[in-house]
Amino acid sequence: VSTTFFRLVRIPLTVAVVWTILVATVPVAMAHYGPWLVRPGIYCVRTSTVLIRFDQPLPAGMCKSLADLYHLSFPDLFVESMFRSLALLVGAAVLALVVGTLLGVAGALLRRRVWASGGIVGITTLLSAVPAFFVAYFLQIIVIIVGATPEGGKLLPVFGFGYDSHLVLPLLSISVPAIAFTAQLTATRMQDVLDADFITTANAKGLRTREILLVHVLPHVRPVLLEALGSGLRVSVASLPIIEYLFVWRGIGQLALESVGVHDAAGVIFSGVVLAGLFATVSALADVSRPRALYRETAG
Amino acid sequence: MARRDPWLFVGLLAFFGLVFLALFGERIAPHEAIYFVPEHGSDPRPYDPGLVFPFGSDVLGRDLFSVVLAGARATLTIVVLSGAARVVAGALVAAVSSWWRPTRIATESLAELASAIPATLVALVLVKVFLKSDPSILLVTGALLVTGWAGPYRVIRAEVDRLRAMSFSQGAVAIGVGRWRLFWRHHLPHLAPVLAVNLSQQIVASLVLIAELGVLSVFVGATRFINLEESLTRAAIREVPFAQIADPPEWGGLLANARTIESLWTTRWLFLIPGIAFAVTAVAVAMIGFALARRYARRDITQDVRGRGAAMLAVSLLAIFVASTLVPERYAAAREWAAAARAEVRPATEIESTFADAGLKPIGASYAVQRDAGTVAQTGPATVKVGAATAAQAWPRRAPELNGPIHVQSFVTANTGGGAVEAPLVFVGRGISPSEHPAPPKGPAYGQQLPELNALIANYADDYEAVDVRGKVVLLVRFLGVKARKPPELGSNQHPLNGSAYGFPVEDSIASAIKHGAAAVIFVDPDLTNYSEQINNSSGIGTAGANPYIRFQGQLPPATTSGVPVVVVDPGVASALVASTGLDLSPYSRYDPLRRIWTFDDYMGAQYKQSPARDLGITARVEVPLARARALVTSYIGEVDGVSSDSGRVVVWRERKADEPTFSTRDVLAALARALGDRRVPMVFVDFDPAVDPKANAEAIAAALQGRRISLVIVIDRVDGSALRFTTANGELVPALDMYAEKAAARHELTRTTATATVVSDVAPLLDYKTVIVSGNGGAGDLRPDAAAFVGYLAGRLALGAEELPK
Repeated sequence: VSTTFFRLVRIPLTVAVVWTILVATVPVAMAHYGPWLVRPGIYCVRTSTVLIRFDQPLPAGMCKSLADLYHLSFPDLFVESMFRSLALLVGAAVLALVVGTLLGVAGALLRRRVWASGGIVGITTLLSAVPAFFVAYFLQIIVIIVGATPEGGKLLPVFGFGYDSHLVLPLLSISVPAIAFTAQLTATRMQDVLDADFITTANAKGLRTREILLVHVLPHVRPVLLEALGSGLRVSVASLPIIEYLFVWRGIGQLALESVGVHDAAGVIFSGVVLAGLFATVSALADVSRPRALYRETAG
Repeated sequence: MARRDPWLFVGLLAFFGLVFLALFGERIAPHEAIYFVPEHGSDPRPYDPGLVFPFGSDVLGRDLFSVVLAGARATLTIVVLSGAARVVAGALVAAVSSWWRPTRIATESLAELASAIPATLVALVLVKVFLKSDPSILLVTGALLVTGWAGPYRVIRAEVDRLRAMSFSQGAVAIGVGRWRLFWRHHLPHLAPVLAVNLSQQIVASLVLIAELGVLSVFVGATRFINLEESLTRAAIREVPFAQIADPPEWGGLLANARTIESLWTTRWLFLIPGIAFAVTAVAVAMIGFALARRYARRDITQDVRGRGAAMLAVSLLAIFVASTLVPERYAAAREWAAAARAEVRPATEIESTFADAGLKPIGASYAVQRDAGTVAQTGPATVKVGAATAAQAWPRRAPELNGPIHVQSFVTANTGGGAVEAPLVFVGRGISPSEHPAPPKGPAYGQQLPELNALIANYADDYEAVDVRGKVVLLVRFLGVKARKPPELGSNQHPLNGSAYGFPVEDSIASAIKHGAAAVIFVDPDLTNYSEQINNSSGIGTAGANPYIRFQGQLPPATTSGVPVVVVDPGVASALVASTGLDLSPYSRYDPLRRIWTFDDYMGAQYKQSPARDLGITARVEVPLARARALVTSYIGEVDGVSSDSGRVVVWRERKADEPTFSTRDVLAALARALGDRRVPMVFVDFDPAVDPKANAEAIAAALQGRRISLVIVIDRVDGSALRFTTANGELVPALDMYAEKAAARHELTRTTATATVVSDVAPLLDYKTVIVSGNGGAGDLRPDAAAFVGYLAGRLALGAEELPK
């Protein structure tokens, strides 16, 4: 209990330290670089004659914060964005648990069939190796190619925000690493368990496969699921900025990138702290559920 | 014999594939990364795949496939280095925390922190803050390392902990095995698969980060701004003529120009070609890691390290490296041209005899191109004398940086003139003659229509009707304008002159006085103090801005030394001059200090029903001394003999200086003439005399060169300094210039931007040609050999048929 407690206490601690570091460094760092356009048109020029020099600080007359740019107050903008990002992450967690576990179980059960298990291993390796943002581009292009009709219609919206069909592509892109991780770890753990002596014994005793799986295998796999989910979501959080940016989702990740571009220190600090909080939470999730054996010495 | 694992072969294949790509990518690419196709008929850029290049072009018209191949080395080096650095750093921290227990909490917390902020964000800020100039590969590796070490650290530490807890470790410790031996002999073989997978994961993670930074327009490597606008013959509205590219080419930079959402619909190859390169590399690296992990899962890595296989691997790697150094670069022979030109640099005295000795062919009868350059120029200050009062122009004309307000200025054009005139002084008010200003033709109407100037002054008295100005000195005040409606309230954000009609252009007012027979004109301009000696000065106050007098003098230079002398004075000087006559000029040039403008006449000129024109009864003397200067300028042109008449010529141009500096461009031109004179390369050498009127002299040379197609002009501007600097408005030449200098071993600054056409045309003698200005910069070194080697290399490539040089 005490270890778990310490691991949970680490979340607010991490957030506090990240906040301190960002507050101390971001404004100083921002004074050191010139503006550049994170997205075409992201600079909010008040006068039409301002010339942006990329080796100098922002000229006067440009908006100083993202709140200015989006014409929303800071809390409205960032708190709403936080929920938009959370929606993506929760969706990714659900997808990873369902699809990832099924894939992992299938991979483990088919471990004697070279092509089937190789296929699952190959696909999950490929998915965890291909950058999430490439998946995003790829999905966008596929949707455009497949769904484009002569009338200009399309299968799914390829960018923009909405808790409807807009959710499909960003969710798929962001959950790919989580699904792959969950599937891989589940498969590995389950293979170990299936190869264990007590399963051989159970098989020798003539128990039914269903019973062996439910009673003897899955309880051993369950802790690994959470760890896999934590590790997978960590990658999802890391790719949150770029995915949101590509889909113009305007979540906390996209705002983080854009506030770096327009020198909005408060925006960077806030979004950095939120992302760090998410990171720390999913890390704790992974750590808490990690098999104790790894920590035998530390705990002892 | 045991069955070999097929994954091992896949891994080896992927490994050698990547090594080959990194070492030979640039060499096997169909084109060089410096080759741009700015235009291809009427096809829009980026060109579709198959149109110009099989895999399409980027937004600037480069072969995308070639650029991807050329960028492989930089990209792979960065990701492999940073991947390895991350794993090494992670392993080191893990080792420290594992061996020295008290540090465990610190390292754990550090790792937690380092992985808590998304790496993209950290790398973005780091690269922007610290690496904004020329991020070297090592610095970028550092930026990617800052957040990246935590992942390997966690995995390795967990694995080391697991191994330490296992019975074989405890047994080894029990029989007294030392820490190092325990690690090397017992733990490392178990760590090998973890390290292999981790290394491949970290390389892929670095690759992803590079790609993400690229999508966000942050490149690794120097960023260049390339603008093709000046090289285009037609303007296409939908095409973007400029983009930022990375140098050396790198894959992330390619994604930056492919990030728009519209490119998903129409120009997908922009993203797909580099994207596929990223994906294939990521998969290849993952396969190598997977293969290694599989091999060492149940096998001791130390066995393999000492085995025959490892030796074979090392030998074949070495062989590939050696092979890569033996393959000659493209146009390798051009280096010899550069060396030859460099060797010929020595002090030269006579360009004409050097051209003859070098075997150059004169363009006409001789190398010399002569021009009689006679001009009319002002030789002293313009002066005005009214009775006893005098005013004189500041002389000599001040340098632009010393510009203060002008109080007296001459106005010498082909329509006015110079000389001295002494005659009775007449005042003609603002010289308004309503009948001379008919209604302008009606144009299309936009927005609110205000009355035209002619309607506003229709009721004005005619100033030239009241007095006879023939043969007299005319005193004339500038007519600023009429308010067309009630002025805006004080403090309102409307411009105070909003809705007003401006008066006549100054040259028209003066021309009108001359037309009525004036022998000399004293023109009072309230705005004179707002102008400077420069043409392009914009003070932004009232009607001020570009100095109209200087601009007009440039457009219509005087042809003779006689004519009507015209002197422009400000109201203060004018009032002092006419003080003895009792004439009050203030009604014609009232200053409104609240609105900070010279006031215009009130609506419909209510106060100007009667002309103030009258004879002032005093004699005035106006003098603008002009003289004709005679000069004969001689430039020398020599052309390499034996070149087919239709090939495009490269003109090497140097300007003669009044006193040649120690490191003279003449020596460079002579060296190039000697080195290239008998090499049958289409080049023309020009020793230019800028005396009297450089523009007209250059036109004489352009006329002499008529009939030859000029493809490029290289202006050797200065050759003293510590590094050469290249300036061109033709963006597609920018990367090539730096590459030439690199290969010719010429010290040079990296060319980051495309210069504007104005900057180039200030120095460039021949307009309408692609022009490169070569000048020395910084310090006082001798850059003659460097400049000669640079042009020599270019000539070599030209002779060898390099595709990027215009034919």
